[in-house]
Amino acid sequence: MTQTFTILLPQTMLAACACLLILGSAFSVRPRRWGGLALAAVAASALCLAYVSSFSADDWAPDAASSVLVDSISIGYQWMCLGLAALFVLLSHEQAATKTSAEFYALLLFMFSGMMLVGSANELILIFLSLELISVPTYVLLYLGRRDPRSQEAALKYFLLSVLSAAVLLYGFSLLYGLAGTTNLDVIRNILAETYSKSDSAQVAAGGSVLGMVALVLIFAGLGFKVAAVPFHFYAPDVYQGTSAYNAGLLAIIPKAAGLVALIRVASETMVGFETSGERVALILAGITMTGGNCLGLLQSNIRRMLAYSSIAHAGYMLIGVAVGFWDSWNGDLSLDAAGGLPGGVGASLLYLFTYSLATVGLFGVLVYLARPGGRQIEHIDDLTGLVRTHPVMATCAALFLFSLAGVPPLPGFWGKLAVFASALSVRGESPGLFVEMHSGFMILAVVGVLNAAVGAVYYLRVVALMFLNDPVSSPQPSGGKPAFAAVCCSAVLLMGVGIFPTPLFTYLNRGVSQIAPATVRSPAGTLEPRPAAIHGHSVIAVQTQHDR
Amino acid sequence: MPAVELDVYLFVAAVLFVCGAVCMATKRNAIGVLMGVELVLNGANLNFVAFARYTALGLDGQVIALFVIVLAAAEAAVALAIALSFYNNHLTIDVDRGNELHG
Amino acid sequence: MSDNALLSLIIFLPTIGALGLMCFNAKAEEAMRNFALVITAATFVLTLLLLGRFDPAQAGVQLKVLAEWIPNWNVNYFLGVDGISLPLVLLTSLISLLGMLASWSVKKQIRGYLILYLLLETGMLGVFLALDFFLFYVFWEVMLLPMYFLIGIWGGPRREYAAIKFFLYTLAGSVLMLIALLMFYFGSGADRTFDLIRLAEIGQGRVPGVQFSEFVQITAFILLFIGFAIKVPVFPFHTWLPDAHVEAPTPISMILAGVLLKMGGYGILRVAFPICPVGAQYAAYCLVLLGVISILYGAFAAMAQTDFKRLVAYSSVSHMGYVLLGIAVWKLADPNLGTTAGAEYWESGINAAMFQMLAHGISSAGMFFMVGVIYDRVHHRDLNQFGGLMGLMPEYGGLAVGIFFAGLGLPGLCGFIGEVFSVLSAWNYSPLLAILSAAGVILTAGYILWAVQRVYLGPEYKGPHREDITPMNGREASVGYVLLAFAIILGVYPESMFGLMRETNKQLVVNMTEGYENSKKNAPKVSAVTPDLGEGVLFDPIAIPANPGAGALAPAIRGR
Repeated sequence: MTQTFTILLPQTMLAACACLLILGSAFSVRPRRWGGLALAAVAASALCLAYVSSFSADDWAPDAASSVLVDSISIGYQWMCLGLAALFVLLSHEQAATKTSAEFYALLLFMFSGMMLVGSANELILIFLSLELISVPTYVLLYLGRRDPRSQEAALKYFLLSVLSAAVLLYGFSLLYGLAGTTNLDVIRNILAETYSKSDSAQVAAGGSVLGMVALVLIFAGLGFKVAAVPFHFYAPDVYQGTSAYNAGLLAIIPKAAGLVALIRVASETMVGFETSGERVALILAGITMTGGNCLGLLQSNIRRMLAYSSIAHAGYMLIGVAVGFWDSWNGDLSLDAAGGLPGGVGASLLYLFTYSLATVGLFGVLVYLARPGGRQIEHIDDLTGLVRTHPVMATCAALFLFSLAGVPPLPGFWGKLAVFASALSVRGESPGLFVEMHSGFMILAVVGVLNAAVGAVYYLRVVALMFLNDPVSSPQPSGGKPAFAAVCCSAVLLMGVGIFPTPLFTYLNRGVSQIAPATVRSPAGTLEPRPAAIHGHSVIAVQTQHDR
Repeated sequence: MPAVELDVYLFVAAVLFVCGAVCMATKRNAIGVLMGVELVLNGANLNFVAFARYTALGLDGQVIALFVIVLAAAEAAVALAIALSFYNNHLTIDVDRGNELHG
Repeated sequence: MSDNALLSLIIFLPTIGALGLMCFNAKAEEAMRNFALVITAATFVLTLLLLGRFDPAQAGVQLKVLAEWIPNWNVNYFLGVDGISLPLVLLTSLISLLGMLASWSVKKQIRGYLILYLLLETGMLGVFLALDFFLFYVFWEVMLLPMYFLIGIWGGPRREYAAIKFFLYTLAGSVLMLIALLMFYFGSGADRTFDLIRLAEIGQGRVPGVQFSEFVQITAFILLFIGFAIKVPVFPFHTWLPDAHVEAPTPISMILAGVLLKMGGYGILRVAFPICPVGAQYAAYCLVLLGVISILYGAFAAMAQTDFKRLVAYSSVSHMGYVLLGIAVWKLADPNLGTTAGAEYWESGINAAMFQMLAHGISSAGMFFMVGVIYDRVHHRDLNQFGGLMGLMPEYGGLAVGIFFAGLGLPGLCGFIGEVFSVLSAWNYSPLLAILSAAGVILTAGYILWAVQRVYLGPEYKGPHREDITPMNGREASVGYVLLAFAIILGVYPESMFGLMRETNKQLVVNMTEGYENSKKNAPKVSAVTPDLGEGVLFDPIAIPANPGAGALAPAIRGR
């Protein structure tokens, strides 16, 4: 029990600080002060996380039924969350300077606490609740401080679709619970691995039981909303456009990261035996998400709307890794994780998420920092015309972020794309005949992916061209304050550093090497020996199979 | 008294799910849409409770259902606030009236 | 200086120079120009040192440099030169130096211009010296960004359109290259590698147990060819070129035509051909045909232009067609055995293609420079408004006519050798195509003579800005004289370059013909029910169970 609390210390610290901020809002403090307190909360949480990461694999007592876990992915992911939290707190310097400042920061900390919790959760319900811990503050944040019809419309749209997705996800979880008889992910995984053992290839080829397939599809639908995958994406452009650049930045990163990690934990890594259907769903989603996002992105002239479509397109690339993750968890001994020093599908997906987040937070940071001459925020991409003359540092940073998103080497976006496409091309098809080599679905997906990368470059380049190749019409004014400026520069420097020295990231994300043995005995991807039947395994499967007939 | 099979519960839950989804798709009133969501959530709840009951798993499912009920209440609170403010601006809560954002 | 330091310094000296430019006072424009000129000159001297150390009698790669870069991917910092890359490295550093001399015509934001110019030079030299496919790819992309800004900021009126078009075409080509790169990587056995030499050995069936299957070779070849064909540019992929050339400032046009176009041909010879002999043979006829179409299409299009620079741009499409023609004339004697007919003709075709690349590098850079010189004075390029420049600027007129004749292919000048030998080697492949390509020579003479007549001869100049027509200054004249001198040297003594590349090209032809035969020999029969896991699985030895116990895995590679 204490072990669980230790693992959850960083999240608890953030949430506790958030509660204190809400209590403190009763006192009148200069609004700017709250930002410093929020930053202190992030630092405290980082200290806790450093404490948690200081344990080695052997220090954790194995606990098969634990609802939390520690592995290299959860630790790395939480560090990323805290880094993003610090950047977002800095960016909010001017944004939050109102009388609701304390509440604003409290909500922000709650969101990040939920985001981190997803990474540590080893339990269906804990994952669901942590996603809600992100969503509910988001609703309030979208609504807070902005009373114009457009932002209210955005808040309402986001709210209604988000609760629907949560309900659909919960329904999917309830079916998965029925299938395995437990909500613990490791136990589910073991039970499913026992049921659909490798020797029983007929059932696996058929895609698993109907109940499981329905659960899988519903989970994909629910989490597809969070990561903004086509066809669950349609809220994103409207909401990004309707709300402020700051909120849009939060929406582009937090739900996407949390949704992706949840998808990896619940679907690719846990639902073994359903990988045939899982791969198919993920492949199709990835293909249409990339293509849809990029093609619609071409048509946009509102900068936040354009970035919304860009974030949709990037979700597609991440889903490629999710699809490969299914294959990896079944054929672990053949996966990239096991074979080379490279991250497999899951690692590639997370690497992509990291590079995407870094560039996206910077790009939205530029938009937060700049405002149109009248003081209103940057709306149209033309507002950035000739930025290099008026704000050379911001323009250079923005160009770096855009080129990284477009995937130009040696910026991190390129490494992300490379890892994702490499993992897709490492998947091998079945019959060892003349054309053994590649799994045709993944091969086609990789080609679609690179062509999409070229299409996506068109609209990123258009913005760069406006900023660098034209003379300014009007001069945007810096309105974000020095901390925001520092945050943007920080992310740009980090971006360059990761771009030139990507080796540590690749090594870290290669799970064959860096697995920190977890509190719950979490098997590394690839070893599929079912452990001694957990709690009620057998009886449940008996009921379930009977039901399926 | 004849025993009620698990299938029946699952069927009812599925009906609730479909009703909720249809309600979401057809209702134009924000509160109506919210009620549709509640139906879906309760369908899931019914699943949890039924599975827990029929597999002798103890109280897991029931506890989860309680969690979800509390969560739904929290969401409803936020929903009402958002709907109220939408009403203040648009003098209606017809979600189709929010049509400024498109493209 | 060690080989290691020499090659790295050649690539990174311009980068160091670019960093050095940051230290200058923004007002000291002349000092910055001179500093950048010294850097490019020093790079040129270093490449001459490289030439001195190179042993032309050896066929393989020399002066190798190998260091680890990204161990996870087995990506290495692997450099080296052979007979294919060395002449192009020399050409690059020479054209960069001359382009820098021509850069005095660029007036605005001089520091940014010089920094990007030097970074571009790093990228170009890196592409030619890299022997690791991944490193090659990174340099290829790195080159893209400076070029985009150089066209986009310092270009003509439609610079933005031209820059974006250039960027997108090249990016589209390079992402296809990325797929091929990953296909090779995962097919290269247990110790995955990007090493171009090793990949070529695998592709040619010279490594026991691993070979790329025909499917992989053909697919990868098509992907690579599209990527390189965009750069060359070959007929259907050429539409970025006239826009980019016309809008780019003069020195950048010189670099584009003189160096960047060569990267397409170089990529085909360095990457696509050696690794995919089967793919190359599969597509050979198509390549030759595209070459001939480019020759004729480019010539006709050039004839129709009224913009002087556009005419020169289309002439590049036409001239680069000979490169593709020469590279691809690979004829089989027996398709079943995979034996090659007349390998010596093919070898001479490759030599001719290489020579044509160098000759075109000199002549087209010169032609763009000559157009730039007159454009700086009269600020227009309308062919119909020129005339009589020979009388007004005799020195310029003489140099220009000499360089245009080199482009035309006059015997004794550089353009002649490449064109004639590629047409001759094409005869063995297909007499019809050889005749058509020979017709291109006549068309070339037509449009160049017509242009010379309209611009330099004729009664007198009637266009605008007549009063601004002043004689060339010393800087401009020196660029012109150097280019003309090289055009004459290459034309009179082609052995200077043939001598460098002969052994390498001979070895390339031998390796590829053997490689094709090996592929035919090793190819699994399609009808085989149970493929031979030892040699038959050409793609990935990892999938082959290493021990008997692992045989149980076979059903796990799922049957769907």
